[in-house]
Amino acid sequence: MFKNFFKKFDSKKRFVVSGLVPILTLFTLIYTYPIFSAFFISLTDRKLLSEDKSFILFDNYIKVFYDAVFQKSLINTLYFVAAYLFLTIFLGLGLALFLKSLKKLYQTILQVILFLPVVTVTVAAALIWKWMYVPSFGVYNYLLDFLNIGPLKFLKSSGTVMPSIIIMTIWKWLGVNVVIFLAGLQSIPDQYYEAAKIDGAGPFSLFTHITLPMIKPTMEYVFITTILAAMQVFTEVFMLTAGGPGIASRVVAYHIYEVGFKFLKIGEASAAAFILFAFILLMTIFQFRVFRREELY
Amino acid sequence: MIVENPKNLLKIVLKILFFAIIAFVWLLPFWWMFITAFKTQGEILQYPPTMYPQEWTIQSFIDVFTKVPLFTFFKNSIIVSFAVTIVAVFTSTIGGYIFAKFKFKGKNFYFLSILSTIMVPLTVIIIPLYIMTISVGLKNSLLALIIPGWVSALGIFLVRNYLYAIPNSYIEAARIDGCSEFMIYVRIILPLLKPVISAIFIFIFMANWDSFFWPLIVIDETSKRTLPIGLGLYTQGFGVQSWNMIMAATLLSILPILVVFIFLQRYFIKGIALTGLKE
Repeated sequence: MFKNFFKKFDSKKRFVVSGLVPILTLFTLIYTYPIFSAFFISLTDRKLLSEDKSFILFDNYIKVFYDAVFQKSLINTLYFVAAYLFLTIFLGLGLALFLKSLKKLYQTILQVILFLPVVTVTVAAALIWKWMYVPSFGVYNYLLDFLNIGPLKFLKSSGTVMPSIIIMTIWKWLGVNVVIFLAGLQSIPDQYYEAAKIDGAGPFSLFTHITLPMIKPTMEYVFITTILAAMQVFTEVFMLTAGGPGIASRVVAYHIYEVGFKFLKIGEASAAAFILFAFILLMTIFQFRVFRREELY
Repeated sequence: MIVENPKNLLKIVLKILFFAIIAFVWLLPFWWMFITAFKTQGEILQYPPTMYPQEWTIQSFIDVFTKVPLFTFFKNSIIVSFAVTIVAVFTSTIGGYIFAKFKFKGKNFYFLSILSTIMVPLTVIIIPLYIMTISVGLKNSLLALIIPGWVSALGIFLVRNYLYAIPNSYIEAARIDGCSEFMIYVRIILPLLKPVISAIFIFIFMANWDSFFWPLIVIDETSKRTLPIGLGLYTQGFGVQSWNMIMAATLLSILPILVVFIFLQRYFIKGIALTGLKE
């Protein structure tokens, strides 16, 4: 009896230890150690592939913060995040509502269409759009001509380059949030709407009083994943403009890539990365407060 | 179809119109890529552009095949994506199961530490990871692309949430029957997790198939490049106006995954939807 009990206890413990140790080791090697190491590097003037370093405390942070190129990268990143977040939620929820009103077959067709760019490699998607955006022979100027707009220079002018990148990114990824919003909408029981309709609620108040509160968890998820991804936007910028013209579309991730891996100044690059990290944490905390505020009362 | 109410008719017309506009905007880039790949060099530099090739040619595809080792890029991408995903699904299910169904010291601390790694931007850890990779001699090795993907905080989180709702009696019954802990995981937990596993599989696979920043810096041998960097860097060498060749290379690199997607679209879409439905 006792022998059995200990055997059982042991096998459980053995399972937990042998399952968890490799997982925690990997997380430590891939995340924990690099975070501390990066912070350490950000306090030095170390160059990539060299061991020589001296501690300069927060000099890198001060330098980065007053660097006009970094400032522009940060402003562009925040602009990208704000515009992208607004568009992905507005269009994502709008299209999800539209999809919900369609018959199953049309719903599936449109979902598949919206998902085609999602399964397309970002580099390939960016190449297609780069070609479409070409001012002289590209298809967009040709089509805009019918609407009496343009010709625009898209990626070639500092005035239009950021919106052009944002539009391409929306096209690429919108399908994800549409599908997530649709799943959220479909999880709302129909009885809620029926009951409210009997009480005389119009479509607008159905939306604000039932739909929005019911999809709050979904909204929160979309917010947080979008902010995380958009703050780190890299591939689209690298492929479409490499930060150009000049530094008009440079974002923080691209700045870190160039400073760290081309100019080899990893101290400065790490400092820039931690400033980005700080902004991500601030936005997340802010977002949690906004979403949780109502629950406090 | 006879519509008696004119207001309903208007509604239907607007719906069709809206549907058509979205479909047009979303499909146009694919159409444009497709026809550009089949156009002659002269035709792509014409204004106004033609929406349909005047003269179909497969010259661009021949050029791409002779100049770009697309097959190598494909092979590398497939090796990396599968080697990451299979291990990550294993660690996610076992980790999620342990956090959902076992009691041990420091459980919350470990779980929250793992979960908080979701917030860490790649740009913060990429420099130390690069230095580590070089010091263990894995630069230009596919292993450098594979190992960092072996654990997924989101995967563990999804599995744990899913198993939370499942009663312990299943597991207890198996224990009483004398099933070993590992066999319980294999025989009872894994089958229960089927929908979550397909979701995790799809999002981890897609993320790795598309991975760019890390492979860009850690791989600089052509024979070790994955599809995204191979395509991205090779097309830069084509000459600025060779859009027909660039589009041919693009078409070839996205075609296989698009075909897979069309056949498995239900699983792709369900999988992504599931990641958003958290408690």
